[in-house]
Amino acid sequence: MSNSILDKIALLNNITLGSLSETDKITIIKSFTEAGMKILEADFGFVWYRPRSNNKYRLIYTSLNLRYSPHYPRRKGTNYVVQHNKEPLMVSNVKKAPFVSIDTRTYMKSLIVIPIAYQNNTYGNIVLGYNKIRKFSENDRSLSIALGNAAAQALTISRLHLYIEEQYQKMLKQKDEFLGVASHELRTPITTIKGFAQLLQQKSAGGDPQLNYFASKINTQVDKLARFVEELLDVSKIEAGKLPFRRKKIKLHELLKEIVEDLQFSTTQHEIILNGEIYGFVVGDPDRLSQVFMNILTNAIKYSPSGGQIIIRFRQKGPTALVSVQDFGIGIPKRHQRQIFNRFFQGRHSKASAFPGLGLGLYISREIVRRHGGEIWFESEKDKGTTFYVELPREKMKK
Amino acid sequence: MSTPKKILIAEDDPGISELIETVLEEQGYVVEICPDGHIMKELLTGKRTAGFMPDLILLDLWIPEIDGKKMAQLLKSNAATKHIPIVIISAQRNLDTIVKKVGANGFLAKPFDLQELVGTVNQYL
Repeated sequence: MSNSILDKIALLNNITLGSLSETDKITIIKSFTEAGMKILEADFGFVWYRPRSNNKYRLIYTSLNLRYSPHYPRRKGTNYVVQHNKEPLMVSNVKKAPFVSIDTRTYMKSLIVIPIAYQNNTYGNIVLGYNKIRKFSENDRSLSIALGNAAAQALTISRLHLYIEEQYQKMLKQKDEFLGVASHELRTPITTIKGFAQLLQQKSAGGDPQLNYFASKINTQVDKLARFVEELLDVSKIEAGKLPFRRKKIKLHELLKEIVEDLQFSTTQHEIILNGEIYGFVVGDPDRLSQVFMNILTNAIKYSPSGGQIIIRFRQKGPTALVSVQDFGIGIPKRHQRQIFNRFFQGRHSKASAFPGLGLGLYISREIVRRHGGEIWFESEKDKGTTFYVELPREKMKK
Repeated sequence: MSTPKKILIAEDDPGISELIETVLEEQGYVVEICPDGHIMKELLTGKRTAGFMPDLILLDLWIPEIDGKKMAQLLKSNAATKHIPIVIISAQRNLDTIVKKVGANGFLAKPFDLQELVGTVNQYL
């Protein structure tokens, strides 16, 4: 006897644990009703669910062996009695209970109505029915209460899960919209500041050297600001799945040559070398791919502060084109290597302020490369340098 | 010396229009600023006489109460104005597609610098 009670408690416990990861309310209600039928040895079961929105009972689950359709609960029927008393109603002989509807009396001899409730959270009732008259014990009552409580808690948790998920999605969307609008609105004043700073620099040339120097400072800073805004906008588009791409035939070698010519102007300490050749072309967005290589190359310059060579190599690997960019700089510490493609990740060095940035460049670059059907990765050793690899699908040149 | 070319700036942001005005006047152009759509409406309804027609329009896509794209299409389908080159100014991206769609001549994407501004304008005048 005591063993079978323990078995019943164990079954209820299992159902409760299993429902914790479940978010669908029907599934939760079904598993608790089936468990209730086993634990309380009922012949069938069904559930009147009362949504918070309108307080009206709705039949949302019936067991397979239920052969009739329960009528909508009456104003002063069992459902209302149970919800009001907040405890299970156990009727051994329905014929002796006037508040049980005539319809219900025809289909069962005994019944239990269990409120799915705990504290102030009520979700409706589980009704368990019997084909034969059954005497109910105190154990049955305790088990019914436990079943009703556990089902209500599981439903509350699932409701919270859904609520949190919903709020989270809403916040993500708002954040993306905000970033998009903000970046867009920032471009206009940036244009103005940049323009007037350029004018100031032009006008002060040959005059007060300090004034001219200040103007050039404003210029470089505003360029940096403009780049950050573009990066933020790119990220907001990536997150919203709206980063636009064009499809053009691109000769990687020529694309890189242009970038190198531009970049070589910005540094006298570094020598950027192009090595090898790629036949055929890749299909993609030339501006976006330029952005990727620009990012890798500026990083190579930035993280080899004592200068030296930066070597770009081209290789054909079957159907793909492989571009590598090797620097001989400070390298990426082991502990950072797994994170450098993460959003907003910034390597913290001993001279932290020496390498400013938003930490978005590589995140954006990887998105772009992957959208082109390629991959980006790196090899790095501290104090020896870093090599970045970009592999892209290659199309054959048609003659 | 020939008469200076006239440029209409349809832009509601005073910072941008003043910047463009300053730079283009230095280049010897005559600049007229229109922060809303009224001058373009005058152009479309024939209220402007030949001597006051602009030789180039710099058109911001976001002017209050005006659909910039539609305005460009109207100007380009109007017999009196369709010869006037239109350069679209916007903080939006994919401006090349918009230019094609509305029949404009070129674009300046914000943030642009002064060389780009002067270079683009000179290209059409």
